[in-house]
Amino acid sequence: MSNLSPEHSFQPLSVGNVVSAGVRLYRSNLKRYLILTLRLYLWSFVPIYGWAKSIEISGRISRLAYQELINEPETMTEAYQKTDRQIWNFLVSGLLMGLITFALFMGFFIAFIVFFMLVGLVASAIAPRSAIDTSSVGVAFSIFSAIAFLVLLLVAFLIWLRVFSRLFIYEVPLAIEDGIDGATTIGRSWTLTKGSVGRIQLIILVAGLITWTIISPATFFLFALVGAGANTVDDGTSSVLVLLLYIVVLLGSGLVLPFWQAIKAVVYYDLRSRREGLGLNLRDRG
Amino acid sequence: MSLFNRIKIRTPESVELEFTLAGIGNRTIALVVDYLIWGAVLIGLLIFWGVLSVQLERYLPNNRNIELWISAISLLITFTVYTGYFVIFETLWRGQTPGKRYSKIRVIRDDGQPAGVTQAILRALIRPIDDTFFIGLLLIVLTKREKRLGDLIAGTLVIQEERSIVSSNFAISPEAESLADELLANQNLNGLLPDDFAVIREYLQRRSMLETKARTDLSLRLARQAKDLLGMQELPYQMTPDLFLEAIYLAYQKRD
Repeated sequence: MSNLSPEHSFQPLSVGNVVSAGVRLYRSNLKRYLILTLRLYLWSFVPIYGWAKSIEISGRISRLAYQELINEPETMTEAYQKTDRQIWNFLVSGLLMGLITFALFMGFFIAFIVFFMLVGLVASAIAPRSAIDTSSVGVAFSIFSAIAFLVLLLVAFLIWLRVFSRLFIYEVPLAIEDGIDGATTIGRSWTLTKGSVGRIQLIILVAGLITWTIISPATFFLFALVGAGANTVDDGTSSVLVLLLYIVVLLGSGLVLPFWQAIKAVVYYDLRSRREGLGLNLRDRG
Repeated sequence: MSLFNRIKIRTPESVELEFTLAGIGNRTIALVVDYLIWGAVLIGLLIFWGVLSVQLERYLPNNRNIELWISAISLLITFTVYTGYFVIFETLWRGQTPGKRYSKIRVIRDDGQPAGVTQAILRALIRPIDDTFFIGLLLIVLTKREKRLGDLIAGTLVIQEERSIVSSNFAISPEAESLADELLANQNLNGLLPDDFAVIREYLQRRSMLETKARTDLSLRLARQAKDLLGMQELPYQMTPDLFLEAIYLAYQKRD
């Protein structure tokens, strides 16, 4: 019976194996990652410097995960020394991402305004004529514009999904590679993900399913709290409930955040293997 | 950390085998695919049964228990499809279902033997428990051998299918042929191990998908490393790294 390993370390990973590797990294480093996430949360309350620090820490979690994948694990201090000096670049990349998202949604907004203006124009143009047969033309036109609206909505969603997938790992190159700044890291994410949008979306879907099932007890608790809050009149009780709600949300997302940073690290590793032949080496493998 | 969860098992004949466990990602994909197919089959059957039962009620108006019977039979259909789907496929396809086939994983027994009907039934019967509150998912993530309750009770493992080596289907330039003969005549190829050959093959196969700059760097590096491994001082004459690697690939296959 042949017993070759199904995948050599230099071969690209399947969607399932990307997710499994992310889960395994997360599980075996849970304590480290959660400590970092706690710091990230605390920093996020400090304006500007703290926000930069938050993005830097999330990048650092991915760096720690990636170093483990390439069998060159780093200590927390080593990783800190590498990522901390890029702190302002992390802020720049975060701001740029915000700008990109903003521009995208402005674009959608303008597209929708233009759409509604066109609909209005056409409607007023056909209104006088349709006095003869109001019903048929009017109905056909409203059905047509409703369908056009849905199509536009779908196109906007697909564009957003595509851009989001291509920028999915925007902060990871900055945390790992040398000679990269806050702008080029976004470009790196864009080049690396070229041709892999579908696979990234599947990875996000499967990892999302696993995330959702694992935090589902928390979601249940969340809904219970919201329900209880809606039914209380007493101010004291409701403020306690709001506080509890806040804690549950923080805990839940705190557990989830490092998992996604680990997934991003594996995606980055896999993309570099696919696009740049990372790991293809004759020397190291005597 | 290794990317995969590799385990060693001992067969009844005391042969040690190594497998890669399926992993939560592949198992989730398999489950989603299976539940989609299973759901479609179930909905189809229940619609059929619904249509049929309306006719039955019309023909047997005097039977008071008919509604009870109808709901009992629809429950039975659900149960049969739920367990039957997994039992039938895992038995006939030796530990695989359509979803598992899609994500290239397979159920085997703890001792490496193919899973049979007993294992399939036990796994299918425990499945509802594993699905409740996602017990199975947590167990797969948290235990070393990635066993859900059904696997623990049936004594099974879920592993990744061994990937058969795909035949090479990449283009090789015609000059490489003569160069390969030259290499065979003048060089000792024993410096290259099968693993090195695998890396060169992998590069040649994937080079068209690589980014241009990365590809230039990588081919140059691999060609230099190969030159050193073969103990060559200089390349015979000017050639591109890709051509040199192609020639090595051909020569390595031709040597006896």
